[in-house]
Amino acid sequence: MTLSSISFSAFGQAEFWIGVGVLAGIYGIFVLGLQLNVGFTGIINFGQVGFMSIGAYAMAILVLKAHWSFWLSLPAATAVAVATGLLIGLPSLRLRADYFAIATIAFAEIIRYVAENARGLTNGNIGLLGFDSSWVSVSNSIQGWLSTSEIQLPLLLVTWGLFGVLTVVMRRVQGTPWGRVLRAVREDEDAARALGKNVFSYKLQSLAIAATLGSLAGYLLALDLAFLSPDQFDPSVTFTGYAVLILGGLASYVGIAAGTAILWVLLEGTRFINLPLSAEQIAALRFVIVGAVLIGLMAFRPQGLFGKREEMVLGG
Amino acid sequence: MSAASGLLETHDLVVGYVAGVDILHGVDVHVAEGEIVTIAGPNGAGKSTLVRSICGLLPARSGQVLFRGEDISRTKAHAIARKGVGYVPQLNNVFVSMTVEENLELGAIARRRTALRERIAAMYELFPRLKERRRQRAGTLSGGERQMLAMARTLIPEPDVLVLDEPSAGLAPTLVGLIFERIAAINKTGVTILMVEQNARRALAMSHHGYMLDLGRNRFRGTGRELLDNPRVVELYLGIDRRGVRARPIPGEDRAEG
Repeated sequence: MTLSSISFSAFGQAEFWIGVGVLAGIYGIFVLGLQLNVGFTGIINFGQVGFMSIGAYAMAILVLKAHWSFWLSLPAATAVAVATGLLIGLPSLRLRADYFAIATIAFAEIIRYVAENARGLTNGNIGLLGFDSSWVSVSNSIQGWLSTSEIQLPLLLVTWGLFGVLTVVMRRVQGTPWGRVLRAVREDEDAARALGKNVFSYKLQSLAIAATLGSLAGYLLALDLAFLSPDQFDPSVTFTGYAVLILGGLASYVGIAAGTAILWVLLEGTRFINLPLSAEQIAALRFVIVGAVLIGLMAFRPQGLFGKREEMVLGG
Repeated sequence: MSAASGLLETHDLVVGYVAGVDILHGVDVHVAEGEIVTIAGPNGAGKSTLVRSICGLLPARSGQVLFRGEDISRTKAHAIARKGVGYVPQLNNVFVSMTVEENLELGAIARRRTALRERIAAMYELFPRLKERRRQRAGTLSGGERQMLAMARTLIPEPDVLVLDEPSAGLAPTLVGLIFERIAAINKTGVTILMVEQNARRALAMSHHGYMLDLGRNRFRGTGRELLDNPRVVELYLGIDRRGVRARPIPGEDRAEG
């Protein structure tokens, strides 16, 4: 296969790359939750997109159907996501790790099918619009202060600001005795139990925090697109999150920022490779490239960019 | 039944992993306060299953586990640990990605910081090797050091009884002596010891009471001395003749010592 030329013209387009940056930040927050579950607690959560979806839809529905204030709807939507996390976790966290993983995929898919079919609430595949007017006016004032014409720049700043703060908070939390118990659970559940730790309760707390982070990523995604439809929340979102997680490294919060930035530059940058191929073929090729990068990483640096090999201890 | 005032007892304990297949078919064990009690028996006798069940890691199908007279056979493992039963799993029993000190801190059940510092200092006194390696990751420790760390970590909350699953497994002969000597020292401080051991002669020699388990049933019981002097026990389970040579070697059993 010959690479005819690479066009960098779009690399100059600030608007495009700001959009990529927003997505990268949203995935960063999304993956913080995965990191807590997978990297630090050893629970394989394949349903993170479900919490994202619940956060986004609960916010939009509260604003549009219940006429709540946008700002009040945010904590309420997070509360709904956490409650769902507890509801899912209570029966399924008692299962073995692999069955739990399957249960979480099923959960996320159920949420998506409900979003498609509960048309009275979600408008189904037609989607929801107009839940973001409060944010748009804030965004406009930020844009005014910065005197910029980039319409997505305020969201980029808010997203990465929040991502930065949350990364610091999660690192702090990980250093507490509570965080250490999670690592103990990841390494050897029975040993943690024998030390008097209520393993089930710790796992449930870990899942609830991941649900919180998922819901935050959810409303940021809703604001980014100014539109909600069920197909934005298919399982590939979770798996892209896992790609970020593995790229950045398990058990490293700092790695997530690098992982999400690199993955999204790769995913979006490969749009500009000009090949004598059809648009569909190029679209497929982008994922081939991402896949090849991930395979190469697993082969030569399984701990990711920032992960530590000695932290890759699951079960026991 | 044995004498009253048992600290830890099982009555007719039935335990299994797979539905319809019991591993223990009604085992009775009695541990009095301050004792060292050894559970011995061949591979597959159900020794580890017994202690895992006592500590709540495997549910009892029937029968009782009594701790200070209270039935704990339906109690969750973490709650049993909080009552004062400290369990040290067999091998791979430390958190390898954490330092020695972090492992010890995980032993804390109550959150009082000063008390924890004192307990950790006491453990460093009991196992000076751990103090030398306090900042090292547990994954870099030798088998003997890991065993010491696992024991020390379990002792942090001052349990009434320490349950050890094969403390000498996989250790070099010189270390086996050291570990048994430490176990005796721990017992002297008032901690009751219940241990499972393949290294039965050595363990029984230091035990107040012992049990020989076979195929999930009690076969022999008595003081450590009585069991060691019982020709049937020696013939069937200890497998060593008067000259100290193994009469009936069990494949793989003494690999660690070879």
